[in-house]
Amino acid sequence: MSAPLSVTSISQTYSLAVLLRTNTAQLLTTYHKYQGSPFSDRGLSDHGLQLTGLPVAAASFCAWRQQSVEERLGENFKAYSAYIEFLRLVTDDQTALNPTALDLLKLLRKTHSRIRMLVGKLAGLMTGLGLTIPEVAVDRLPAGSLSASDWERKIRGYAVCLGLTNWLERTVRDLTFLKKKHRQ
Amino acid sequence: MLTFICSWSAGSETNLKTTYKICYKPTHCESVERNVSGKINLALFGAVQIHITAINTLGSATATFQVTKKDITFIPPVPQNVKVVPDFSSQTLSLKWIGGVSALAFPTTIEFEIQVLWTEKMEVIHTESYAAQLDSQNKTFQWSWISGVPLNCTSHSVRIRSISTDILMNSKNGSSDWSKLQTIPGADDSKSVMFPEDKVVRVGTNMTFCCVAGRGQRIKTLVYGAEHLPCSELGIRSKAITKYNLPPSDSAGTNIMCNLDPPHLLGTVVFVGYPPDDQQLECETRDLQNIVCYWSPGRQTMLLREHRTFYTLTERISGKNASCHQANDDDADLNDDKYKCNFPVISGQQMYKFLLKAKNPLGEVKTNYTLNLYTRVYPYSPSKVTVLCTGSRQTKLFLSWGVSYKNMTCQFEIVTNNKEKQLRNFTLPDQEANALSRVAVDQLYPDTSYSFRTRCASAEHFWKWSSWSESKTCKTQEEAPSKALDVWREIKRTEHGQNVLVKWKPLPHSDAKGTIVKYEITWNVVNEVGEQSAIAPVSVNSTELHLNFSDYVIAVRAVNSVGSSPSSQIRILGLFEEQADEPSIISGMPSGFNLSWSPGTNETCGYIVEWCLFPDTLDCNMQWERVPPKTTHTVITSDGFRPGVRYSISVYGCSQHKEYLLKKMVGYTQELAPRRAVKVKAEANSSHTVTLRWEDIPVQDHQGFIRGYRVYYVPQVNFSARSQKSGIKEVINITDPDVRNVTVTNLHSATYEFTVKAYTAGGEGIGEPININLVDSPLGLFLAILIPLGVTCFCGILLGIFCYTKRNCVKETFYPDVPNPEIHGEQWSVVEGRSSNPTFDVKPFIPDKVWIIESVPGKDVDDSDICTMEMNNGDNGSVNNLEVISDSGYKPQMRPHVPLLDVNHTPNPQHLDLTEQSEGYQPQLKVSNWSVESPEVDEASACIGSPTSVNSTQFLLPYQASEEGQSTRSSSWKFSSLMSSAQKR
Repeated sequence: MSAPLSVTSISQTYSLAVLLRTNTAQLLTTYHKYQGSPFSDRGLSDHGLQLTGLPVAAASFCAWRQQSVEERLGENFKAYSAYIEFLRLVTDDQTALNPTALDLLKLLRKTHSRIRMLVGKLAGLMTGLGLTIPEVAVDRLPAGSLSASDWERKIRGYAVCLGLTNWLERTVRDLTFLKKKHRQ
Repeated sequence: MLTFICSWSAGSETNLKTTYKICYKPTHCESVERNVSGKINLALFGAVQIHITAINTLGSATATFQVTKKDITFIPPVPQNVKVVPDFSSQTLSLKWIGGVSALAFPTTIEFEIQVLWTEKMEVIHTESYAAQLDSQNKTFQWSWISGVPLNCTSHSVRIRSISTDILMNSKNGSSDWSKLQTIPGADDSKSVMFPEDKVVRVGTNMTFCCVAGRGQRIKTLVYGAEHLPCSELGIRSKAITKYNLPPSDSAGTNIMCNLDPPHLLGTVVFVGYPPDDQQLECETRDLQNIVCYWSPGRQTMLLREHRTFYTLTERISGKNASCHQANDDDADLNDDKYKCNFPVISGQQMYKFLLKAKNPLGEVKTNYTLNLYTRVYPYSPSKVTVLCTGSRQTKLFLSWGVSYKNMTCQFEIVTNNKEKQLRNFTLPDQEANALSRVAVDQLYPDTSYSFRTRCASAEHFWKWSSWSESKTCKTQEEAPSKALDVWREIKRTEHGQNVLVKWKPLPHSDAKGTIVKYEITWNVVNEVGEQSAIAPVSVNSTELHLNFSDYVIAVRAVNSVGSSPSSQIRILGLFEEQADEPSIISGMPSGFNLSWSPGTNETCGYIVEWCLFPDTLDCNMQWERVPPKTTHTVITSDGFRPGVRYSISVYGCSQHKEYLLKKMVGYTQELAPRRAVKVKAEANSSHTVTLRWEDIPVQDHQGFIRGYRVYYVPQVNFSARSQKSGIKEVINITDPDVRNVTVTNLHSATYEFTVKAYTAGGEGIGEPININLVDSPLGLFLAILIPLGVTCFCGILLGIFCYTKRNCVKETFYPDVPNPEIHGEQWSVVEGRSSNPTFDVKPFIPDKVWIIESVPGKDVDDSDICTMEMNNGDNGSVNNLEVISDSGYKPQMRPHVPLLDVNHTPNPQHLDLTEQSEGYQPQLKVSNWSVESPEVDEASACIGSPTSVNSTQFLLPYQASEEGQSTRSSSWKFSSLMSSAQKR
């Protein structure tokens, strides 16, 4: 009985991930627009930007290909659980920095809400497949997050939006992979 | 007396114990041990002689010195306990030090010289003097300096020294040594950083930003926003840029980015804005329970969120703060309504003094406002307004407020349905909350919709009107029509009676005082009992009555729901014939007519002016206008008046018993040119006189009063005859409009075109031209031929007689005797060099005229155009005339068919072989016989049929025996040979 339910759940989760992928691409563009130069300039390189505590989507193909379903979904679950917190932080940062950028704030809140939904879907999927949901730390934000300078706030917002975009690319692939696997 | 320190050099060393004795004036000696310096007391002023005697076991030596004030240098002490305290956020260095131990026991002025250096480069970046009074041994001094470059950017060092500046010392001023360097280290190299961080500065500030590279990193560039600015090097790891006159930043601030190698996203943000500019604080109360203070924010600070302006409003008498949640709410909309604070009224307190403080990171502004509570009442608009239309001319307004107010002065605005506005004032006594106040409104018009709205203000101390209440509408009730109708009639008499069209003008709303529902028409024969009546619906403004030839009185009344209007009467006199003089002509204006007339004899009730708006139509749309008594002029206007239309206007006098025709007038509002042509008939009386007659133009086509006619005539031009000149147009102006004919004289025998045009003040109309041909009589023609002929004959006869009488003289002159030459045989001599055979010297014959006739079968030569060419023969100046008759039309540049001057050209043998058909001397008969050596004929002239040849006419003239069909072909080369000979010449 669980197999058809899982296929449906995977499809729904997949659809949500695809929607979010579009969502975050728009978010990244809007985010850049409000941060001023050089963010709003074309061709800004992230220079391997990394944020402490922010999960990185990049993975070698072999490692990714050999992942089990549990590992695959588990990593997604952990990543988005962290992104929920980072997105909230970025929303607060932008509320302070750009209180008049209503479209950006609205997009951040919408993305935050949908990521929460995605995390719920992933959890449901794992439960449906009889997999163990990994434990996540309660507070994943690095120490000193609240005392960041304005530049650091802008940079971390950029890192979060960019990381989220990368993660959703990966998730769509993961779920495509899962969909195929479950059909067989 | 002062203690000075004198020092000297000891001279050569002796290894013996040496003591010194210093003596100075006044005589005073001190012995000192083996020291190179000693203290002496010297007088401050004047020169001092100092004798220094060195004494040892071997003897003594004395040196004498003269010391003046100029030789004495005062050296102040080095500043002590120097400490530097940095404030990185404000980029300030604070310096503290003690003046040092002075040898002087009294206060003296001193100057401290302070230097700030970039330690790494040991570059002095700031030098400043600090003047002070050194009056106590351990006096502490303080100095601070704000650095343009953030202190973290590089290590900063500070040093200080003292410089004597006391003029009372009357000696050389010296400076102390520098104090030890006090260094404030910059950022360490653990990581790359930028300074300053999250700074908020004023617009227009100059600001320096620096980037300090961490270990293993190198600074490439620094970028302000998108602007690349030149970098200055502060040290090996530190670079800076300076942005002058900072512009306002966006809400997220302006980014300054440091490009590093290897790449790393490093930057900082600066917020550039303005200090608060809040102004125009005002406070008032709307309900006597709360005071609202509001102000204008002035120039926007450009700073948001944590950098935004915070407001505090304090009432200074009570010391209480007002509530400014809305003004301080970061999420509130940035409109002017945002900037206000509320302060609750304190019981028993009437005077309030408010102080508003507006503060942001760039500054603070304070504004005061004092108010007496009851002088600043700004009432709400009435919370409830009810209107009740109770009559035809008055209504009642009911007003109430949710709060209590003292005496109020109010206004209500009355707007009619015609958008006419009226403001009326009224007062209201003390008003309890929610109590209903009643206000009567009168002087209204019946049957009129009114909308009412009201506003109020404090009556005792007017401060502000409240905003207008919402509008309420009601309609007053109707009254009976107050005015009689304006009635007139149109009478058409027939053999059976009179048809009277009774017309009336609808009452204006102000007179109708309600909605007219019908019209009542009554009529009766004068002095008879018995009235007839009819009803006309409200939609019509006339009714037709068929009456007999009795005198009638007709009355019309308008009726509405309340009653009827006063009766309006007209009298019809059955046997009365209206007569008036000939209509007078009046001139109008585009908008109408200005009329005047002589007063009537019986006029008692004014005049009626009557006219038709569309006189050309069956229903002429009769209009009338009543003129008050004693007034004999009026202006009638209408948008319906059109130019070029003849309007007939009648003026009726109104008496008690009848209306009678007083005057008739005709006129145009604007005259135009007649629109129809004058039809003319012409009759030639002789070859020089023509009489023209024409008809009237129909009146409706006059379009103005005909002022006269213009007769145009012009002889017609025969364009085929080139010699004839065009005719000149003549005109006869007839200024009498009644003239219908004119006789034109002094004409010539030709065809004339006559046109007659009528004209008005609006211009000249069109005309229909008519042509008439004038021919001379046969007798005249005969005489014109015969008389010149007779004169010629007479002259001929006279000449003949003369010549006959003088015939010998004539003969001598014109026909002298010709001598008869006799030639003997021996007299014939042969000239040497000439041919032995006497030859006949034949000179080239030059034809006078050559005819080339090209005839085409079936084509008549007479039809052809004739073209004449003249050719000069050069030497002898004679002229050859060539006439070419061709049927192919004029072709001035026609190329001949046969090439010119072609010596190899072989002409058609049929044309060349003429020997058999010719007789006599024909030297050029054979082409082969032509010689190029001939002195007369060159190569170019070796052309067949050269016209220079004596018998060339043989070629030029078509040979009689030639076939008819070849003539066309032959014509071409003949022409070309002609041309060639001409060219040769």
